[in-house]
Amino acid sequence: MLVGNRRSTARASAAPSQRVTVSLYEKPPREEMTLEEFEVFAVDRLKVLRTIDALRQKGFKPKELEAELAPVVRELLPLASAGPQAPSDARKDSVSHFILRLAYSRSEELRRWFLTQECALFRHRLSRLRGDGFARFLREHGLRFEEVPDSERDARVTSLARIKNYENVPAQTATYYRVPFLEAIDLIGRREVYLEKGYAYVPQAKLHSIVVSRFRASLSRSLAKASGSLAAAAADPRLGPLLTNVEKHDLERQDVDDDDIEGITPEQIDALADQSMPLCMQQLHYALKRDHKLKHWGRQQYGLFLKAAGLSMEDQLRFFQAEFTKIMTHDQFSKEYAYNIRHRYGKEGKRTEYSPYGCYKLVMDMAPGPGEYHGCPYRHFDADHLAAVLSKTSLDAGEQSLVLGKAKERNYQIACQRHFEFAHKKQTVNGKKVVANLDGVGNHPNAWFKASRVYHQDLHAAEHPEEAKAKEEERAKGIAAANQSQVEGMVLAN
Amino acid sequence: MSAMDLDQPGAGWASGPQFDPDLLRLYYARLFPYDQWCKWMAYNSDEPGTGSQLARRELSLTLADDVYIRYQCFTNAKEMKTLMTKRQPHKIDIGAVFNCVPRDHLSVKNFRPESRELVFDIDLSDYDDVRTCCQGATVCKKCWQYMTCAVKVCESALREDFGFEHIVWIYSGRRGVHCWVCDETARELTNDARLAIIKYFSVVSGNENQAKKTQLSSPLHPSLERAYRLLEPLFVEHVIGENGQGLLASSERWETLLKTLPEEIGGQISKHWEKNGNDTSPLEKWEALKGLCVSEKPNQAKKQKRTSVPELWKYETVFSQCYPRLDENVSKHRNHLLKSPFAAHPKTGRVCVPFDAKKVSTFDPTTVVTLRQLAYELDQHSGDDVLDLDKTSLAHSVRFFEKDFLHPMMRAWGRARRDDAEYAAALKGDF
Ligand SMILES: [Zn+2]
Repeated sequence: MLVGNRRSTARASAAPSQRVTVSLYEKPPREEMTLEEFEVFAVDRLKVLRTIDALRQKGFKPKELEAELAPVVRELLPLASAGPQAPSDARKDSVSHFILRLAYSRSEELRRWFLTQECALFRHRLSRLRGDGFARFLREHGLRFEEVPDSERDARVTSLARIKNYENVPAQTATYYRVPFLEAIDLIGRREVYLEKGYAYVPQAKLHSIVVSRFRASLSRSLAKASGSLAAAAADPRLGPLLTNVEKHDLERQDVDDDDIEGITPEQIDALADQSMPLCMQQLHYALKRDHKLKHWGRQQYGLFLKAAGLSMEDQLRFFQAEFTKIMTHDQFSKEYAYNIRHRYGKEGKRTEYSPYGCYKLVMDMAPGPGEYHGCPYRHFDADHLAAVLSKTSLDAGEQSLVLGKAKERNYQIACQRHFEFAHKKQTVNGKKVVANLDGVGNHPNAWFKASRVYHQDLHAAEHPEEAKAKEEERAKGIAAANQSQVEGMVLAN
Repeated sequence: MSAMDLDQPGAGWASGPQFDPDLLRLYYARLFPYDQWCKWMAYNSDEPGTGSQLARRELSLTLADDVYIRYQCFTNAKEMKTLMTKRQPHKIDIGAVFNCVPRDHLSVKNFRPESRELVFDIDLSDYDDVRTCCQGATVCKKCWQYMTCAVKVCESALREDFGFEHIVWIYSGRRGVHCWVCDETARELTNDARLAIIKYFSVVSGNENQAKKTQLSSPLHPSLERAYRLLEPLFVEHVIGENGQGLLASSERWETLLKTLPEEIGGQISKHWEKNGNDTSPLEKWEALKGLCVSEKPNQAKKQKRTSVPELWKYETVFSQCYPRLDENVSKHRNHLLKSPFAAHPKTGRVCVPFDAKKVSTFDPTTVVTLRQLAYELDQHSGDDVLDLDKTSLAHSVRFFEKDFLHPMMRAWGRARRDDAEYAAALKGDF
């Protein structure tokens, strides 16, 4: 793709009769365009992808997602199949895809994010093809599938009839395609396809899903390739800043700045769990105290949280050891668990620093299994268990049901934010206003924790003005003393 | 261990520790089947030396002094033996095949797992809410039958649905089983595909904060329908009766089951069985309960509905008791570690032996060979002119591993090579 300062209009216009279909993005566009256009296109597509992401985080199923997504796509990334708008729509779609593909090839995490949202957008587009639109799409991209002969279908008809068919075509007359099971992974995960000897028997109505999986596989390969050419593109004086800008629009930053957080010690954790931890971490803490163990992902989630909360590695070892050794020997603990704790701090293995999990990961990736307490309670508890947990908090009945309602609407992060707000109300004590800072609350457990600690420190200071004053004086004295000794030092040196 | 211990009157392998450093040394020096292990893990790869699949495989070892070392590797059986005899690992875990020799993981940019068998880990401690004979780490022949259920269902789905052929089942050394699916397609699966397969297998969900339940909908998927056909007889044999878990053998137990029925019906049966419960066998009770299940018709009269049990109830009952409960985390990721076959379990001293899935119900975990037993057997036959392995009961397991798993897989590799060669020749002919 060339980026010029003037837009070349000649190439962008095509014959109005030309019909276009959903793209597989196999060839990058070769044309000139302005930098402004370049940026507008990229940002519009990014808005669409982020909408998809937000809907998926709320747990919307593909069908529900469609209704919500349609107006957004229509506004920002329309794709007319015919008519005067068709060529320019297709151009914007293609250009914006390739810009973001490049910008998001930078890291494994960004690639994965982009791939997920692009596949959802692609699926959305396929589902909106009307009439013979899908057949035409297959034809134009040369996609062919092996049709199951009637006799072979009839031999399996009782099994095939057991699979729900979107269009309610009876198995006896439906058309089936046979694909290697690897192409039907999505359907297999939902148990929505019949499998036999490594092949999936896909009814015509579900062929979309197979096409999406081919799209995913090819996009995944392209992204890996794109990461190789990113360095060259980023070095271009005009493209470089743009690509970086695009990336700045990316996932909410999950880092928590640790400027003025005081460290914590194992002795404080019990009290801090009650006072300042979000539900997810409280659950892990209480489970640890009760069972004297946590399974792998629980240790990971809680351990990284505690690390970011300012617990030193030695203290974390001490903290977990104190609990675990209630049910095992010290030997066992150091053999099986100490390594992972040191690993968390980058002291073993690959020596990479691990960052604590943000809400996105907890909601999307961390569903707990039996005997596990990690993940996000708003997402992973059923209503009864969540209500029981909330009833043990300081929230009153009305507040609890409001939070519960948010979780039911699948606004998990908002539910968590509301919980924070109710538990950290604005108040005036001894003439001093105490207000919590909501930055990042609902996006990251450590932000929740930090905001809560600051709030409680402020509250404490307002409640005990004499103590605060004394502290202030103490500090001033310290500074004065330091200055004094510095002055003395200078005098002596002279 | 010295021979003297064994020569003392009354001494045998049954008393004394089944696992200790001396026994381990003997095992690694004379018995561990390095050749078979390496032939398996080489996967027919041609590249000699560091490019082969075997050389790029990670092993992680846990040593006696609590040290845990990752990214160990070797290129052949001889090197493997050298590593094991030098390190004397108490635990051996197998990781993924990486894109380069794992030893270089710090210096190679883009170090990443490339392939790994599809593995399942099924542990009896995950059945603690349904088994009544044992809890936690203990196992007996009764609750082992949950493993029979799991193996039968997984085998049928892996072979019939996914078309996998090269599957080996391993006793985990303590209270469960591991399954290694070694077909090339299985080894190359992406993490996403592994997750989808795990979901395809999962029926019993829930944990401490979500009510345990089976999420079924009618009609049952063909794979689950087959699972029910396999499981129901096992459920009858091992779960409901007095000789099994006793689910329908005492009022205290059947009351919990009756609570899962629609309230009115459950209450009626409860009253009836309270009086006449001793007149019928657990099997007759189960048949009676099944008889209550009717498939739901959309326009059923209200009155009828109150006295009927949804058809899914019988499936849910059988599945919640004995459908396989897989540890998802082990299967989901390519670079998850899993204990190596033929390693010894440090707690029990038992060797992680392969077993025949067709005979899983008669496999007895409480009699699996231990390191001490092996040492004893070697000693008993010290003068015999046969391979060390053939002096011991481990021979049987190793021969089974070769005959049932390794050799068929090697034959398949041979066929694939011939096909490739023919294909290449055909291409040449074309041009
Ligand atoms: Zn038992």
